[in-house]
Amino acid sequence: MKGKTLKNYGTVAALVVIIGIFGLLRPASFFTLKNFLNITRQAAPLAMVALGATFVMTINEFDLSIGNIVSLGGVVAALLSIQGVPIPVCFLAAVVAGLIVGCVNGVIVAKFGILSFITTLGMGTVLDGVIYGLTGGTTVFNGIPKAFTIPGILKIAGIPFITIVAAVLYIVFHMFMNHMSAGRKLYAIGGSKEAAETAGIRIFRYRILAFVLSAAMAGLAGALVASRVGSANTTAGQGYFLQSYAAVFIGCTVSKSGVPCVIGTLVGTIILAVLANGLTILQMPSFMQNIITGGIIILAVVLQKLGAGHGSR
Amino acid sequence: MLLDVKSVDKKFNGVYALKGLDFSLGEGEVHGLIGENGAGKSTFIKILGGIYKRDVGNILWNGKDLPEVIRPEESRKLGINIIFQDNVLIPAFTGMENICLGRPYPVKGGLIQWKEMERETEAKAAELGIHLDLKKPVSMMTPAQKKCVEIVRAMMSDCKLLILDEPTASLSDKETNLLFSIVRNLKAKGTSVLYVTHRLEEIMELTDRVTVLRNGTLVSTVDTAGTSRKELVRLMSGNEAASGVEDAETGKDAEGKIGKTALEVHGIRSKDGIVRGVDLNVKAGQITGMFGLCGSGRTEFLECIYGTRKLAGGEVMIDGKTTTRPTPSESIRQGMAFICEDRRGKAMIPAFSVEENMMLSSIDRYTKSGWFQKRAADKKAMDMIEALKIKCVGVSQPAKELSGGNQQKVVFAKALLTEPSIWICDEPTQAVDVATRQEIHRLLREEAKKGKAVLYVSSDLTELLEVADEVAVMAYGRVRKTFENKDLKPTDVLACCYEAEREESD
Repeated sequence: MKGKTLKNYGTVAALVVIIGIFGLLRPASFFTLKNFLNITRQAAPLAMVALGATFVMTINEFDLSIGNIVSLGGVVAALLSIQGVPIPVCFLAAVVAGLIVGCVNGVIVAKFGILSFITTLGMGTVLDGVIYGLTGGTTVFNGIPKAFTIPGILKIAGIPFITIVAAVLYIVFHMFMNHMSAGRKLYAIGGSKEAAETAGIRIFRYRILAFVLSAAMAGLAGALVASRVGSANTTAGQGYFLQSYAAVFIGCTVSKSGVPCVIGTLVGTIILAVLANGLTILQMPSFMQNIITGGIIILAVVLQKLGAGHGSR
Repeated sequence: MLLDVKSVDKKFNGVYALKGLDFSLGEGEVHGLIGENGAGKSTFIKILGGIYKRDVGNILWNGKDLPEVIRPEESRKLGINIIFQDNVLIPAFTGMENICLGRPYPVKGGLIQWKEMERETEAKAAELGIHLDLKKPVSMMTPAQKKCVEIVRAMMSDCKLLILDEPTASLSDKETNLLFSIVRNLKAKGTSVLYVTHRLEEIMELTDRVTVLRNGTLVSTVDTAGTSRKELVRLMSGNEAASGVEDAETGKDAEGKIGKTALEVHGIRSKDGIVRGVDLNVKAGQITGMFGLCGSGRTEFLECIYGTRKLAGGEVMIDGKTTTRPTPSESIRQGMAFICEDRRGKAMIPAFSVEENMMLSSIDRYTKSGWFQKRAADKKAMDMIEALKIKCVGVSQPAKELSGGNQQKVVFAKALLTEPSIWICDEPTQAVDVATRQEIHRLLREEAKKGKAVLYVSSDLTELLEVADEVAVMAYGRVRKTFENKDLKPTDVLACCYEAEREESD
């Protein structure tokens, strides 16, 4: 399947170069195991959200509500934990909240043929309102039990727990997308919805599946972010939407045919995380960080386009 | 001579689409271009239009050598305009704005002068003998009116050669006559016309000379006055002996074995009103042909029974099982295989590999407890490549790199992998080479022999009469009549179509 093997090494090489540059500039603070583990911990929530976005982009759709679902997941989990609900249930509830939102998104898109762009844009605004209603517009932190913050800061054998969660999800969904029939069907729908339908693939349910997976990932990530920082609010997920799609777009450059792939998204996420970490260590002002990060995203996609123009007609 | 083409070659993926073509065309000449699907007609006109680049050979335009590479806009500047079968108009724009697209709009002080545009375009239309409300959006126009808009657009610039590709495919008789008078008008003004069609009666009526292509090579260029339809058919199809052999080999009606009904449909109506109540029995062990003029609802009917078009009523019966709401996945499970007309859009995914395309309908067959059996699928795909003689580098070659004929074989492989008992084929030999076309005929004939049912839709009547055991004629969304293909003549079938037309217009 598309992207099973890394056919374009350019993006991976770019990641190595970026790491190399930071390593040379700040060997003591950047190029350490401790910092690398720190990067993975910072990157884990984004990695999960981006993984979700990969599914939706695979079927050639967009989920603009993904950032709001991150916020929702955090708020739902945090509020329930205050109510004394067992911590695992709080996390489960965040995932379920995501599932429901994703299901609604998917049904509207697949059943009524509404552009996903518009559907999820509206959904994002709706969720904003819902979260405001739940929190009264304030940040939830008072009364959050200590236990709620454990998953966010726990380390197992020195490795952050959320890094492990993200890694497991990546392995599972890499297999899912490349070696299971459902994954192949998602790619087929992305290749051509009409051809997939004509071939007898039940595109209705698989299109919904993509939105559901995407939103569930975002819900889980939201809960983990809330756990790590010990608070939740409407804006907690704001940054994740653009960042996650940036990661998927960079990731597309990894697969030969330019379609989204799980490994590519991982590479994309790591590039973004390493840049954020390294530029902060270099004490680059945040406006410069934005300019450099944005520039690299555009550059990656342009290079991919140029590369693609060579091979095909 | 306005145009002189000398021994032009064009290859796609190592296969000749055109070989050593010589062609000439005089000023004010109406020149017919005929040949079977895959004969090289469209390759030739696309070379003239600057869409393809020729590999070898010379093209003289007004006595001057044309460079090897010309862009479409350069070709237009030379005065060569092509009107393709498919409309390339913007539906939401008015006729006059479509006509002016790609040309400088009349502007005054930065504002578009709509009145001026209307005057210019209407004057041009009147000059060509076209009477049409150009202020109407193109989306509200009939196919014939759209064709007229395109002709006006082509004639806005100094057009010396107008190439019409199957211009009457979507037109009624009356509209066809209108088109003819426009063409004659152009001829009188000294514009040359290259007229591509598969309708020989139009060739006989309209053209001065006619060029016949077969398999990418020139068969002959003859004066229309000195030839007959029969002669043209002979030139197009090659020696008659060969086609006779083909018949014997495929054993048409060999045992007269006609099985029981495999697919039965009653009162099928589509929600959009195009299909208006079709009853049809498709029997196992034979090929049921379906003919209809463009717009008769053939394709739409197939989509209805397969499940990609919404039904307003009617039922589909397979093996005694009745459904009123077919879906593609259910149809496939019932044993249906649909070869759809829109190959690149619906039958395959061009960017996907040969193997991925073949597997599209069979992913679940090659899945064990959720895991896709890549190795088994690869092996099966390789078997298919061998069995159908598909020319490709390997299973992982993107399908878009294959020739039309080989792409269609991949589509057939996809269908074969679902082990169908009912074949529904919509123009299955469209845009494939002659050899593949015969292979497809043979394959379907063999399937029929094995007791499968085949419903074969084609707009090529000659082809249908060649392959089908019976021919159902469709017109205005209904099956008018079913003929047994015994001594059936094209005129019988066409008469049935036109009769329907007369009834409808009353």
